[in-house]
Amino acid sequence: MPYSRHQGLVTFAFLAPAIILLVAVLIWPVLDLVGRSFQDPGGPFVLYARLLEVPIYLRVLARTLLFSVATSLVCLVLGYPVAYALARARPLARAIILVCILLPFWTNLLVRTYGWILILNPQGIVNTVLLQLGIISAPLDIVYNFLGALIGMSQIMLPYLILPVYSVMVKLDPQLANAARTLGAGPVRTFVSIYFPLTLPGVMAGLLLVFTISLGFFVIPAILGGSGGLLLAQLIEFNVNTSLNWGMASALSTTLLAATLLLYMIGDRWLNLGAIWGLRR
Amino acid sequence: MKLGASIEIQGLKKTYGPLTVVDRISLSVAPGEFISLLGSSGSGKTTTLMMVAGLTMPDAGEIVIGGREISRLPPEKRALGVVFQSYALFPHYTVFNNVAFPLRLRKVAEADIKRQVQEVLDKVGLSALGGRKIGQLSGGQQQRVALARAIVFSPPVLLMDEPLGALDRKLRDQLQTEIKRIQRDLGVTVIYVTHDQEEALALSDRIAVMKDGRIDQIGTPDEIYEKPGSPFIAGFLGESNFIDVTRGRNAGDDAQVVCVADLARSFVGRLANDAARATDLVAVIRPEAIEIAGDGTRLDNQIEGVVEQRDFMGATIRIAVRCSLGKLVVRVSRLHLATNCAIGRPVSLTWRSRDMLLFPRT
Repeated sequence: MPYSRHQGLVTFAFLAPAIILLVAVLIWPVLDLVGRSFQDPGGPFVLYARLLEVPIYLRVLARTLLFSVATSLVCLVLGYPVAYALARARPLARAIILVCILLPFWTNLLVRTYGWILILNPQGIVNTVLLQLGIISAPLDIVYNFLGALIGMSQIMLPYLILPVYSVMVKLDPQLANAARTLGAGPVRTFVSIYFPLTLPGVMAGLLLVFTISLGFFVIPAILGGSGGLLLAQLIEFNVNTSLNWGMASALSTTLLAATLLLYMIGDRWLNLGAIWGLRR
Repeated sequence: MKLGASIEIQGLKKTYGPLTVVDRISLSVAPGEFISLLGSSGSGKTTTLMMVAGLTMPDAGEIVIGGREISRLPPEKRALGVVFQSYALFPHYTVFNNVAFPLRLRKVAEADIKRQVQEVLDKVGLSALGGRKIGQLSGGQQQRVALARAIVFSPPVLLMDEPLGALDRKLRDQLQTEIKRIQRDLGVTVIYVTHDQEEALALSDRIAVMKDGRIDQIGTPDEIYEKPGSPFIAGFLGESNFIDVTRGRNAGDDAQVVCVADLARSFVGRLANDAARATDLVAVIRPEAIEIAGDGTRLDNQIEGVVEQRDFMGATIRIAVRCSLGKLVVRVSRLHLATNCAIGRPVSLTWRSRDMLLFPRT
C-alpha cells in the first residue's frame, strides 16, 4: 500500500526540524566539547591527569557527590510521605496537592532562590522567629554555605522525587497492605516488608533523577552556597569565565557527562527505570 | 482437628457521610458453618466482611468471635484468614514466601514453616510451585495461593470476598468444590461474600440475602429458594414469574386464597406470612413449577397461551408463553417435554396452588 510505504518518510519529515535543531545546538557542541578535553598541546590525557593530581579538583568532585547524595536523601525523606498522601488522596485533594507540588515550577528560578536568602539570612524570618521564641541565642548560619545550598536545592528537586514514587504507589493494589495486616503484620512491619519494597522502583527512579540533576546544577549552589564550598558546575563556570582555561572546563564537563550517562545506564539496566518513566513496559 | 469458632454480630453499622452502607446488622454463625452474604453491589456485603476483618471500622455494634469481642482490635490482632477479591498476593515474594509470611510473623521455627507450608500447598494442589513468582501463575493458581496463605496459620474463621469473581465458569465450579472440601476438612467457620446466587446456593450451609445494608432473609439454600421472603428475593435467587392479582375469598385452608388476576380469571395461591391483611397482591411462581398440560394433566390452576420463545439451555428448555396475564416463563426438563412446543403453538399451562406464593404488593 502506498500509504504505509511513505509512512516512515512522513514521520521523518515531521521530526526533521527537531532533529536538525538537536544536532546543531546540542549534539555537535557536546561532541566538540568532549573533543576539546583531549586536545591539550601536552597530549590527549594531560588534562585528565591534572584532574587527578591537583587536590582541589578531587575535593570539589567529592563535595559535589556529597551534595547530590544529601539532596537526594533530603528529597526522599520529605517527598516519600507526600507521594503517599498524594496516592491515597481523593480526586479533589489530589489536584490541590499536585498544584502545590508544581507551583514552584511556575515561579522564576532566580526569584525563588533570592527568596530563600530573605528567609534564611541572619535577619530573615527563620532566625527572627527562633530568636524571639528564645529557641536559639545567636542567628543560625543557614545560608551562603553547604546547608543553604542544600535547602534551596531540595526544594527544587522535590517534584522529581515525588512524581516517580507517586506513579508507582498509585498502581499498587491497596489490598496488599490490608492483606499483610490480616496475616498478622502491624503497620510498621507491613510498611517495611510489603509496602516499601514494592515502591522501591519508584524510589530508585526518583533518587537517580534528583542525583543526576543535582550533580550539574549551577544557579542555586552559586547563590545560596556562598564562596566556601565550590561545586563542580561552579568550577566549570570559573574555568570558562574567569581563568579562561577552556580545556580544563571541557575535561570537567566531560567527567560530569560521563558520570551522568553511567548512572542513567545503571538505572535503565538494573532498575528498569525506562518502564517507570513510561518509555517501555 | 476442628478449629471453627462461632461468630456473633450485633447491631453492626457503617455510614459514609449521609449514606448508610450497613444498617444495624445482626447475625450469628455457628462454629464450622459456611455462611454466604449474597447481594448485588452496594448491598453492604463487602463492607460487613471488611468490618469483621478489621479493615473497616464500624460506627456501632459488636463482633464477638469465639467469645472474644474484637470490633475495636486492629486486623493483625484478630488472627482471621482473609481471601481478597484481587488475591492481594505479594508480587515480590515467591509462592512459598507468600504462604510462609504469616508463619514468619508468628516466629515459627524455619523447619516447621517448611513443613506447614508444604502441607498447605499439597492441600490446595500446588505442591510443585513453591518456588514460582506470583507473576508466573495463572488466575486459578493465584486463587489457590491466596487460600493457602489465609489458612496456613489455622485461623478459626475464614473470610472470603468474591474469591472466584475473576475466574471463568469451569474453573469456578472446580474451585467451589475444593473450597467446600477444604472447609469441611478444617472445620473452619466461613463468611463468604458473593453476588453469584448459584455459587451461594452450591456452597453455603446458610445464605444471608442482603439489600440496602440489611439482611433481607437468612436461611438454608432450600428454604430461601422454596420460601423466598419477598418478591425481591424470589427474583434475585433463581428466576420467577410475577403476576399482579387482587385478593378474593379464602379457599378452605387459612393460607389458601383465591386471587383474581383480571375479570375473567381466578387462581388459588398460598399467602406469604406478611400478606395476611393485604388486598393488592403479587403472585410469584417459579418457572419449573409450571407444567405444560399434555394428556389431561390438570393441577389447581390453569391458563391457555401461545408459545412465544423457546431457548435450549442444555438440561432444561426455557419456554416463554404469551397469555392474558402477560408473559409466563416455563422451565421444563428436556426429557419431559412431551407436547410439541414450537413457537406459535397454543399450549395450556398448569400449576399447583402451593407453588403460587402471594406477597403484599408494594
